[in-house]
Parts: sequence; structure tokens; C-alpha cells
Amino acid sequence: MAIIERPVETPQPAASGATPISPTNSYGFFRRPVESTGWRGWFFTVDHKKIGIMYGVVALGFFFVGGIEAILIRLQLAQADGSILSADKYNQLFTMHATTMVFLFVMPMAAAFANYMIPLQIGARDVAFPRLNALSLWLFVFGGIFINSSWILGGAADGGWFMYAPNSSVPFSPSNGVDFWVLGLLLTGVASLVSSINLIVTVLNMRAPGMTLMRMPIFTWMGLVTQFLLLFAMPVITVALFLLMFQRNYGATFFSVEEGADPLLWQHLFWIFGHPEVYIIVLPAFGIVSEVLPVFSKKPLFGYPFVVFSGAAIGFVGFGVWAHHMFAAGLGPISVAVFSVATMAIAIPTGVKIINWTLTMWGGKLKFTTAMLFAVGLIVEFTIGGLSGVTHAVAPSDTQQTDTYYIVAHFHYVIFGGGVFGLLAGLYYWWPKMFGKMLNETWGKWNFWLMLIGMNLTFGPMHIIGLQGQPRRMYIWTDERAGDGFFNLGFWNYVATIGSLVLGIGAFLLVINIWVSRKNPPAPEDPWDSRSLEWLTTSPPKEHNFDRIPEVEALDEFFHRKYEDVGEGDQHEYKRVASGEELIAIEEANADAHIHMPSPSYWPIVLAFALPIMAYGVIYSTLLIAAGAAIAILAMFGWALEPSTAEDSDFEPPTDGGEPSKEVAVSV
Amino acid sequence: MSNSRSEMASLRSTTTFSKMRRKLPIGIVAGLGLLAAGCAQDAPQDTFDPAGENAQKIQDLQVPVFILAGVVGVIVLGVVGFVLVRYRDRGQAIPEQSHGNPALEIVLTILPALILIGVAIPTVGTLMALDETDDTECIINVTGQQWWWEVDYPVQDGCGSGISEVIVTSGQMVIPTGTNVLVRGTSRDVIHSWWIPRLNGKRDMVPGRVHHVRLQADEPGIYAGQCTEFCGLSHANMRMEVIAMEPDDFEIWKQGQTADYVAPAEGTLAAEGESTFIAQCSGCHQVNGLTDSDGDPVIAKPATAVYSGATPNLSWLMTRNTFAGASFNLLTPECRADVWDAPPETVGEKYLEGVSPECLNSVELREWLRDAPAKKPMYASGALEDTNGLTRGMPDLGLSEDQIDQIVAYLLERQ
Amino acid sequence: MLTTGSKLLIGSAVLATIAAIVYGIDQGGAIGTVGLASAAAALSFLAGVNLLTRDANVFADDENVIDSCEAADPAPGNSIWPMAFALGAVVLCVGLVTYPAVFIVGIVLLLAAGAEWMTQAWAEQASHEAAHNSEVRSRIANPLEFPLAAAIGVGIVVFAFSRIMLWLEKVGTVVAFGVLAGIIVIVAFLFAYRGGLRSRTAIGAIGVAVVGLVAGGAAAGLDGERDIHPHETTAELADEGICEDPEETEADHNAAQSVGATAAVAAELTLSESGELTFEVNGPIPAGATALTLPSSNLNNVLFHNESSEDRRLSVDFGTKTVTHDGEDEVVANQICTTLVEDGGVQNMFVEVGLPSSTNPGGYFFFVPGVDTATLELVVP
Repeated sequence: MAIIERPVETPQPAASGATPISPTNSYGFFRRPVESTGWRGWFFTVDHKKIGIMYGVVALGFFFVGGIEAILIRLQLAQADGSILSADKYNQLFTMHATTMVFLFVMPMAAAFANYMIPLQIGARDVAFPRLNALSLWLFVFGGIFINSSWILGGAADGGWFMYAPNSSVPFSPSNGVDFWVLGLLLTGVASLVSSINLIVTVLNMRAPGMTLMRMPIFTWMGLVTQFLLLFAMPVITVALFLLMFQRNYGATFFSVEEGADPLLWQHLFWIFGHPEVYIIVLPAFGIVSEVLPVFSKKPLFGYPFVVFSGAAIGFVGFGVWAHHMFAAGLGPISVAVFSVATMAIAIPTGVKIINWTLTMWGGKLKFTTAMLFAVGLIVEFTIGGLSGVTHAVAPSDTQQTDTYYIVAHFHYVIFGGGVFGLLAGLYYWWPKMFGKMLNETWGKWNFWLMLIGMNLTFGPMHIIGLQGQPRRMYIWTDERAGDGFFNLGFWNYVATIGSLVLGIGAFLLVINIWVSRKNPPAPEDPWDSRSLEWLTTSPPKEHNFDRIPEVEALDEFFHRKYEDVGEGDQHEYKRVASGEELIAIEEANADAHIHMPSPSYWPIVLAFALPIMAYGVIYSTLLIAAGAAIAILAMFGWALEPSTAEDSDFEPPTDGGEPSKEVAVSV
Repeated sequence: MSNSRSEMASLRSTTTFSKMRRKLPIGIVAGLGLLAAGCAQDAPQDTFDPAGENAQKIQDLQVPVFILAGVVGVIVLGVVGFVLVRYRDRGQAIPEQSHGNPALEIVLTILPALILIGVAIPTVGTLMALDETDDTECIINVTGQQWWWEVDYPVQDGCGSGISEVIVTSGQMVIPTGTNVLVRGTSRDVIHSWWIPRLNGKRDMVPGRVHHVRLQADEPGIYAGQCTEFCGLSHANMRMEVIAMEPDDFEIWKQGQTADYVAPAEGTLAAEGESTFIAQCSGCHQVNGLTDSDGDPVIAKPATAVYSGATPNLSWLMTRNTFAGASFNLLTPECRADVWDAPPETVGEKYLEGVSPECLNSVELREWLRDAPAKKPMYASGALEDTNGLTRGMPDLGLSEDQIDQIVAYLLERQ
Repeated sequence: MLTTGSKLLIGSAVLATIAAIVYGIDQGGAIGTVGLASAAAALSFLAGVNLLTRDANVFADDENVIDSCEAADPAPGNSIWPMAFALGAVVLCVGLVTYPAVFIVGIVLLLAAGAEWMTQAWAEQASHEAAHNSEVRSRIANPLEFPLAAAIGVGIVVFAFSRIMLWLEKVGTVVAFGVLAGIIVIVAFLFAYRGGLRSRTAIGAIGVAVVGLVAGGAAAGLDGERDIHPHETTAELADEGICEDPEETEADHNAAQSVGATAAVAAELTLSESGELTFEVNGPIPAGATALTLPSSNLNNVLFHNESSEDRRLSVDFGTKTVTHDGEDEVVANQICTTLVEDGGVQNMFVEVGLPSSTNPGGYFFFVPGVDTATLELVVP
């Protein structure tokens, strides 16, 4: 596993006149990319850190796309009989808002943190399958572009993000929008599934010596549970999407009632995926918050084993509650009762986490940085959202609540107040480590407060309007159904719209913060006095992460290296014996002599590029499928035949005629 | 919501802990008060305003659960608020690195479990009670279709004094008060959902399947509802109402729905309207008893023009007061208020008056006849390849103003 | 000096000239003379060019030139791709005037040969070492060549096999399959237990087998499939009046097009032992109802339970309809039915009715052919 640190020089032509053999001359355009700088250093990288950053950047872009879609929805619903959007456009917008936010923002943002932080937290140099990691990233990027290309190719999908059959069949959704949705999700689904296998193998196999499973940082644990959820849930949605694709494009009759199908088949398949999906969304945020709270309370996570086991329990039980999305679907009282009780059961491990976070802060020394504010915000908002969730678990009550704005309120509180706040906490917390600069705290606090106020102004009133009878997924609401009095449904719809604008501004402050902070002075390597291993690196980490693979002796290893317990017997008193910077310097001084890293490759991005071509082919022309398949086969075989490390012959020969260095230059 | 806003107030402030402690409960109480006041009055689809025994059963279950959730929320948020204020960094030493307290954890796990068991038992009980069908006294079939509801009353002994002839109507379901009605429903195309919040929870209407849901109204009134499963373009325009009336009024209504067809008097505008109707509308819309100039009965064949195969039966259109999937009013706003806001003693009588020519909202009806797809988004274009040229919804017939006058006059007599 | 090539060309030109003169004087035929004269002219032209360029023959003993002159680089190696490309072009043209399939084969061949040719030419420019060049070519082209060649090869074998299987009679396919499997087993045993079998023999044998298979497949494909009789379904039953027939028909054998069970159906009809047809719905039946009411134009699923001791089918009568057979209108019964359901069995019937039952004199009714007492009125409002 070789990487060359020094820049590549163009060799002078040899005096003998014969052309010297070098990869640029021999392979030209097709040479293996070995650079770690320039545009090739980003497009062909297999470095988990660069991949994580690209996931994050693209995900943030889609956050704003989804946010604009949401604001358009709210502008339409600000007043009765709104006329800003037609019914068709509205249906497309709410479908794409949900699809974009769930599949193109929250999941990839969580993947960004998982990709960047999990190898660092377990003391590894990269993930188990670096090229697969790159494939996941590019499939996500191309999949996201593919879905959104539908806006200009005949209209986006308009059947809702849940895409119930038979409304998703061709007679009821004639435009190609649903096909774009189906195929785009297949692409991003492959990305997620591949990534989950990658991270599971990484966590199970590549932990530093001494790091048992119960000494892993809690974010890695929640990440591991999330990857297992992905592993079992993504195949189900893939099957459902294939059935729908064949139904729409190749005349299959899986969802044709005339041919004997039962439309509930789609609902079951979708929600068997859909429910674990919401835990896939929220568990990484839980993991982040479980990291952030201890650091800013100066106390370890309260009840680490309980938090781990409750996370695993949520993952496990999460596969047994899917039909609570179908309480009104006519399943019959016995099925409904079973799922109702199971849904109540899953509230218990979730409650355990809230208790543990609160008790972590209890007796601590709380410092309210922006990351901490977002983490506390998660606790507050998720509690509210979780409690409204418990009211849905009561199935008869849910038959009044489902498909109304009360449900919209619930899931926005848990996804936005839970998932997104957690991710933003992670962003503010890990920004100095990833980019070497701190984000501005004042702008950060404005970001937080505006988002918090905006969020509550937008989704709080939705509890009221939902319970008072406003259904969801409707492009207009009428005065006749809005009730009387000043505080009628119209008023609260208006408040929600104002709230969404406040929320949009608050979210945009994040971008401003990033921009304003770009010229900040370099950040210290351990600005928050953190507890876990990813902080035992430079800011940003070197390409090989750790100069020396750390030996782990305890949970919160980094903390225990900095602080020694000088108390006697049962008395604990912690005295600082080293700073983070000092520990990093010690690691540098004892760097491993030989460090081997995987080499970049272009096959992942080529393969990722071929699959959308096949997808366009399904919609437009079978010939494109053949062309895309040929490129995909080429990419797969090229990838398989290529060694994971570049050979000597892939590097330009050095001018002095010696051997190209195979090792990372050790900085002294 | 309001609770978190009071939390935010305490976070922002830099006053001492004791002042915080005093402000918190005031904030919480204020928040709850605002919540209670901040609701619409007389929201027609309010889920917390039951008007029948099924909705009441749900109410009896959900109110305690909501209160419980509220109490738990206040406690949890209160504790969080307390922690945030009490353990702020004021220069104290590094706190004790407690790793947890298994005993406390287990207690705090078992406690919510017990509470939830306490919630689960009545939940299952209510579920089973709501699924009882043995005490049904009246069965009504409902068929959802993009984007209207067909309601038909099969021949049976129940529903008051019995139904001897099938009654077909759309958009408004009339039931006698105090009667256990079983709505048996399905759909002709995509999944819809039948929901009358003040009478019961919703039930999806799935093509190829038949689901049932109970309705019972204690008092006469007009109970509003909406389709609550996304069903395409005009999902927002698919509404329905249940009109409950005293059993005597219900008998009168039934008689009206099964009366013989009365042709318009010769030479009137309505008579011209009859021929225009036969020419332009009867291909899809059924009027019972209508005969053409040869005396043959005119049978509508909507399956040849509409993809989902059916259209509203217009025999007694003016006995209803909404049309086109109950999205538009047949009554002018004053007349509508007169009927809809009538007290329970008179609402049945007012409803039975139907739509008189003075009360007809001819603006709405004429707009619809002039260009239906422009008024209600539908895929009504005939050039639909994927549906074999059949429309979904009513197309633009290109009627002239005279034809519209005639048809309106004819329809006015359908009561 | 004259090189070998020049000598050849000059000699041929002279010969052609002499031949043209002799033929012209002797035979006097215009075509032959013109032909030979043209040949002579062409050969002379070539000879002239050759002499002018001195046959591009650098003197073999000039060392300096070899190192510095580009032409001293090794010449391109052998290649079949130009020929394949030409073949592709020809097949394409042939296909334009014959079958579209041939045209497509030509295009594919053209593209494949063209791609391979370009790759080879490109690789040969990589360096002056042949070994390195072929490694470059392999690295770039193999990832596509291997899987595509394998796919095409397997595809051809599979396709040929399928044509043979479709051409043989049904019994013949079983026999052929068994024989083929037997041969493969025997040959495998021979390979395993008779050591010393040369690889060339093995490859030869397999090659012969594959060629035989492909040839057989081509022949069978051209000859066409055997007559495969389409299995009759219940849709056809209705048109042929079989819905009134209690006896077994072809559609009732191996009836794979029927749904056996489904949830939340519109109604469940049961044929009792005593020959009575009753119905049940989810929940109570409207009190006093003797007929089943189903909405019009609705996708109704009706389950039929056969509790009698005979195989019975459920049919529905909607009156009459007019069908056109060979230009003539015929009035037939408008019915649909299930296949024969065995004793204790269940089958779903899909009932979608566009017109109300009042339009048919006599209304609509369910019935069981062969059991006169089993009728049930169907009301469609």
C-alpha cells in the first residue's frame, strides 16, 4: 500500500531518444490517478475524510433545495385557496421535499459524519473497502442529480414520498416523474447498502488494539446499529422499487388490482423499510449528541451500556412496528392491536436515552457552546416529538390523527428537532477537527436560536391544526373547514408560514457562518477538551490519520490520557497531566516507520456514472441500458483487476533514476 | 411549543437560579393556557369534539393519554430546564466522573413501561369495541373514486323503516340519528380514505378490498369530512358530509330519493334542458327514470368515457347542497349559512328543503359546466394514452351559454 | 538497386502487357483485353511508385538509422481487426438489402472490430517495447473484453440450446436433455479418471460440441418452433359458452391463472353440500337482504368456497352480448366464471360490472352450472 508524498515531476526526455516508459506516456488519459491534490485528488480519492466532506457538502446543498421546496409549500398554504402553486406543482413539491430531505440530505449528512469520524474514532487509517466508499459517494451524488433532473424532464414525481400503489401506476401518474423517483432511489439505495457493509466490516475488524466493543465511542456504536438497520431495510425498499419499476415500464402487474393484486403489498414493503428508515435518520444524531453532551458537561456519558443496549433495542424492535403507519388501512383489529403495543414498547428505549442524556448533564459543568445548544435543543424537541409519537401509538386515536397535520408536526419535531439538530451539533463540534478552524460562536448562536424559534413557530401550530381536522398533502385548505374565532386554522397556517421563513433564515445563517469563518486563525487541535480518539490527530488530520496506531485501555481513551485520577480509594479527583497538543506531539515523535495507504482509483466514479445512464435508458431507450451496462461491466472488471494499491509502474519515474518511494514521508 | 419557549426564556436570562425557579412554572402555565385558547372554535372537523358514540370512545381514550403525555413532557422539560440552569459552568471543579447508576436506570426504565402498559390495555379494549359490528342497524356502501364519493343504500330491513329500492347518491350521506350505521367502503381506482372526524376515525378505501367503519350521530347536524389518503391531483377537492337527521325526517328523505321521475313541463327552459342533458350529459350521468324522445329509458354508460367507470348520479342533485366531490356549494353563502349553522332542532327540516332557485349558487354551477377542469384540477383531457383515451374527471364539454342555462334549469328540477 | 518487390511488380506488369497483346490479337474479346490491359496499367503504376520510394527499403546494415529513425520502430503486429471491420461493413450492407437482423449483426461487428482496432493501434503507440505495449492494451481492454466475450459466448450457447428445445417435440426435449446431461457426465468421468488426456484433445472435443450445438440451434431456429398450443383460460371460457358447462374443460387443467385467496374481499360465496349458494360479507349482511349488492364499475373480489362433494365452478350471468365472428354478429350469453374448484377449495372471481342490473331483464345472478338450486341475485345499482 504505497502513496507518494512528494509531487509528481514530468521527467525530461532521455538522451538516447527512445521514449521513456512512464504512465502518462503509456496510458495517457487512462493512467491510474495517484495524486492527492488538485481536482483529481477529489474526484478519484478513496480517502474517507475527503469522501466524508464531499458527502457533507452535497447534502447541505440538497438541504437548501429541500428547504426552498418547503418554503414554497408553506407560502401556498399561508392563506385559504392559495394560488401560488397549481395542484400539480404542489404535489410534485411535497413529494420532492420529503424525498430530498430524507434521502438526499439527512441520510448522506449522517453518512458524512460516519465516514469521516468512525475510522478516526476506532483508531483506523481508513475504512475496510476504500474504493467502495468512493462508489457510495458518487452513486449518491449522481442519484441525487438524477432524481432532480426530473424537474426539467417532464415534471418530478407527484405521488408522495410514500408513493402508494395503485396511484403510482402509469394510468394515475402518467408523467415520467415517478420513474425518476424509483430509479433515483434505487441508485441512492445501492449507495447506502454498499456503505453499510463497508462500515460494518470496518467497525468489526479494524478497531485499534485494546478497543473492545464496549470501549468504542458511542457515536461509532450508534453508527454501527444504523448500518445494520440499513443492511436489512434497504433490500426491502429495493425490492419494492423493482416491482414498481417493472410495473410501470415493463408491463408487470404486481400492483394491478384487475389482475388480482392487493395494493397493501406496496404499503407493507414500503413501511417495513420506512420505519427502520426513521431510526436510520435519528440514531446517528443520537450518537452525536451522546458525544457532545459529555464533552460540554465535563462528565462521561451516564450509563454507557444502557445507551448502547437501548440503541440496539431500538434497531431491533424498529423492525417490528411498521404497520403503525397503516392503522387506518383496514388491517383488522388484531394486527392493529399488536402493532399498537409494539409501538408503545419502542418508546421505552428511546425514553432511556433521554434520561441518560439528562443525567449526563446532572452534576456537570455545562458550557453552552453552539454545539451544546444544538444538543440540548435535540433533547427538548425530541421529547416533544416523542410524546406526540406516543399519542399516535394509541391506534384508535391514531385513526383520528393519521394523515393530518398532527403527524406532520410529530415527524418534523423528531426528524428536524431530533435528526437535524443532532447533525448540526456534530457540525459545530467537529468543524475545527475537519477544517482546522473554529466556526464563529456568535453567528452560531444566532443560527441556533433562529432555527429553534423558527422550528417551533412552524411545527408547533401544526399540532393544533392537525387535531382540529386539517388533513395533509392538500394543495389548498378552505375557510369553510377552518373554524371560527381569531385562532382558527387560518391563523395557525399563517403563523406556520412565518415560522418557516424564520427557519429558512436561521438555516441560511449556517452558510454565512461557514463563509465568515473561513479566514479565522487556525484552531487548536483539542479546542473542546474532548474525550474520544478522533481528537488525537492534527486539525485537519493527516492523510494517514494517526502517526502511530493507538493502544486503547479504556472507554474515553483520549480523556484518560489527559487526566489522571489522583483521588484515593472511592474518592475521585481528576488532575490534568497532559494537553491534547502534547499527546499529539508524542504520537508524532513515535510515528510508525512504515505506513501503507490505499491508492486512488477512477473505477468507482466510472461505475457510479454508468448506472444513471442505465436508469435514463429504462425511461427513454433500451439502447442506453445496453450502453450503460457495457460501461458498468467495464468498470466492475477494471476495478476487480486493479490492485488496491498502485504498483510502481503507476508512478512517474523519479528524475534521478531511483525507485519511487512506497512510504508516507514521516514528518519530523 | 410554548413550553420550550419558556425554557428559552430561562436560558437567555443571566439572573440567578432562584429567579429562574420562579419564572419556570409561570411560563409553563401560561403556555398551556395559550394552547387551550389558541384553538379554532367550531372547527367542522375537530377531532376533539365528538358527536357520536364511536368518536366519543376515541375521545375517552385520547384525552387521558394526551394529558399524561403533557404531564410527562412538563416533568421532563422541567428537569432539563433545571439541569441547564443549576449546573452551568460557574468555575466549579471538574465534576465527579459518574458512569451511571444501574439501579436508577432500571427503575426509570420500568416506570415508563408500567405507564405504557396502563395505556395499552384500554387501547386494545377500545380497538375491539370500535370493531363491533353485531349491533349494526343500517348498512351504507361507499365507493371512492377520483375525486368524489358515491354513496349507496342497499336493499335492507334496517335504516329506519327499511329500504326497498336501492338509493344512489354522492358526496352527502344522510343517516338517522341514534342509529348504528356501518359504512362499507371500497374504491374504484386508487386508495382513498373516509373520515368524518366528529363521528369516528378514518378508514382507508382500497380498491379490490372492502373495509368497514362505524358511524353514529347523537344529534342532527351536518358533519364534515375529507378524503384523507393522497389520491392524486384533486385530493384536496374530495370532500364529503354526513347529514344526520331525526328518524322521521330520514323517512321523508328516503321517499324523496325513491320517488318517480317527473319530466319538466313542455315548453319550459327546463324541457329544453332535458334534451340538452340527454345529448350532452346522459352518456355519463344517470338520472333515474329519464326517457328519451322515443320513450326508451336513458341509461348512462360511464364506463365507456371515464377511466374509473362511474359518475355521480344526478337524479336528486338538488336535494344535496354540495357537488363535484362536495367541493363546491350549490347554495349561495347566505342560504348555506342558514342550513349549515342551523341548530339541531331545525337542521333536518332545512336540509330537506333542498336547493331552491333563489338559493342556487348559479355562479359555482355555471363555472363548473362551462369548464370543469379549470375549476377543479383533473386529468380530463381525452388525449390520454395511458388510459385508452378515457378521462379521469369531467372534461370540458364546450357548452354554449344557452346550453348551460338550459341544463341549470333542468337540474334545478331534480328534487 | 532493384528490390525484390520492385522486381515482382515490374515482372508482373510486363507479363500483363504481353498477355493483353497476345489475348487481344488472338481472341479479340473486348472485355478480356481491357481487363488485362488495366491490370498491366495498374501493375506498372505500382511498379513505378515502388521504384520511386525504393520500396521503403532502408539498407539493413545502416546502424545509425535504426536508432534514430521512427520507421525503425517495430512495425505493427498482426491483427485480424481490419478484416473483421471489413467483414462488419459487408454484413451491414448485406443486411440493408436483406434482413434487419443481419444489419444489426453488421453494426455490432463493426463497432466491436472498430473498438478493438483502435485500442490496438493506440496501445502500440505507448512505447517502443512490445511487451509493455501489450500489457497496456490488456490492462485497458481486458475489463471489457473478458466479460462481454463471455456473455456473448454464453449467450450464443444458451440461445442455440433454447432453439433446439423449442423445435423438438415435447417428449423429444426431455429425451434430448437427458441424453445431453448423460454425455456431459460420461465425458466428465473420462476427464477425471483417464489421466493423460491432452488438453488439445479436450478443447477439440468441446469445440466440436459447441459448434454442433450452435449449428443445431441455428438450424432449429430457422425451421421454427413446434406448435405450442396456448392453454385456454377462463376468459375464453366465457366466449365459448363454457361458463354454463359443469364438465371439465381444458381451462380447468392446471388452472394457474386463478387467485386462491385474498383479504378483505367484497363477498364470500359458499356452495353448500345441499346445493345452496349463500353469501357472507365482512360484518353483517344488511338485514333482510337476499341479494348481494356490489357497486358498479368497481373492482370486486368475490371468493368462491366449494363445500359440495363435486368439482364445481361459479358463474355469473349478465344477460347477453353481441360478438363478431368472421364479420358476422352473434348474440351470446354474457357470462364470466371461475375454473372448476375442487371439493373444499377456494377461488377468487373478479367481478367488474359497468352497467346497472336494472338494465338487464332478469337482472344479474350468480349460478353454479350443474346445481340448479344454487343461484344468487346480484344487484348492481
